[in-house]
Amino acid sequence: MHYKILMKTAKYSVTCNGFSYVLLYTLSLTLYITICFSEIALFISLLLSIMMLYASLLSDRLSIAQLINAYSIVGLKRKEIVASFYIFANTRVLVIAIAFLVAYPSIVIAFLTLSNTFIALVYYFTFRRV
Amino acid sequence: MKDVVVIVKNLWKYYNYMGHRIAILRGINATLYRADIACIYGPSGAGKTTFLKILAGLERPDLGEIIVEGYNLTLLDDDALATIRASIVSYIPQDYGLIEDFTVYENVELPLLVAGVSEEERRVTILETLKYMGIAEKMHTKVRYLSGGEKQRVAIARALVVTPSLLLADEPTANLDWENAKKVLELFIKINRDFKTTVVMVSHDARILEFANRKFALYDGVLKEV
Repeated sequence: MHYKILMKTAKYSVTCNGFSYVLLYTLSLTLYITICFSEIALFISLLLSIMMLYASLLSDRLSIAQLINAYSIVGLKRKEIVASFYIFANTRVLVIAIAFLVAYPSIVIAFLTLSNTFIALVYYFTFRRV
Repeated sequence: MKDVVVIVKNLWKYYNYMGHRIAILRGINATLYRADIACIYGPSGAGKTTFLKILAGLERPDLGEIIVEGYNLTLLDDDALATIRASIVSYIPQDYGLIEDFTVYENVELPLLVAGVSEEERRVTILETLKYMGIAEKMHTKVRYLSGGEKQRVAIARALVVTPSLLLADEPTANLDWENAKKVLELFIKINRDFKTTVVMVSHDARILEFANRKFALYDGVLKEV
């Protein structure tokens, strides 16, 4: 796998619009789960976070399609393109995970598993045929 | 004896549309030689882009064979086709296929990163290529701030940086006025002359035919040399 391309992808994810929404959401989430600490709040937060992740990926849909298209043209293999998409999405997942890490560290693994399963679904249904 | 670069044998491609199977390419046969400039002219929907994508290994035919530089593309798996795109065949889509938020340098660097070229060698090669294309001064500009003609040059530079044997350009003049279109077409001729690259262009604009030494017409999925 081309390490430099993965780094470029992560950097690209940070510069796209969707990342700013994720940053704002993470700040709000940190406040919410720190102040309103309960199991219901945690459950809602997990759901909201997945929705936020989806919204941020959708808002950058054109940029992601451009990225996948360009990578495919220059000869990146399918699994490398999928890995790049994972890196792109996980850059955002990691930012959201900070909120859980601050307020409820034991839930981070569950969040990462859930969000990565969701990323696989998003790739399969939205970007596989780009 | 001419050096054969592409052999296309009885190529068929179907699409499913509203439950019907429609043949978009119907038994195409063609042979292209090294340093040919081939123009394929045809109306929209004739199957030009599909044909070019099959040559680039981005789509697969339903029937027939394509042999590029001795590699039978129909027998290769997706990973091998990606390797072919990274080294032998370069494809320039109609919308240029560039990453608009990357700089010119970063876009042109991508194929070299895939090829595993060292940083110093990458820098030298990119600089040489951008100078050759006449866009070296735009090296650090983001692609989204470039004009259509400049974007086309960046797309050609990205395709050229790995010195492919076969350069495929989909409607290279579609988004340009005729003055800029002529400059781009002259650039393809220059590349063809300097690197002995086989160039295949498809267009709905018959004016590009005068820039080719091999002229083809594609109507209703049937390719004929004219």
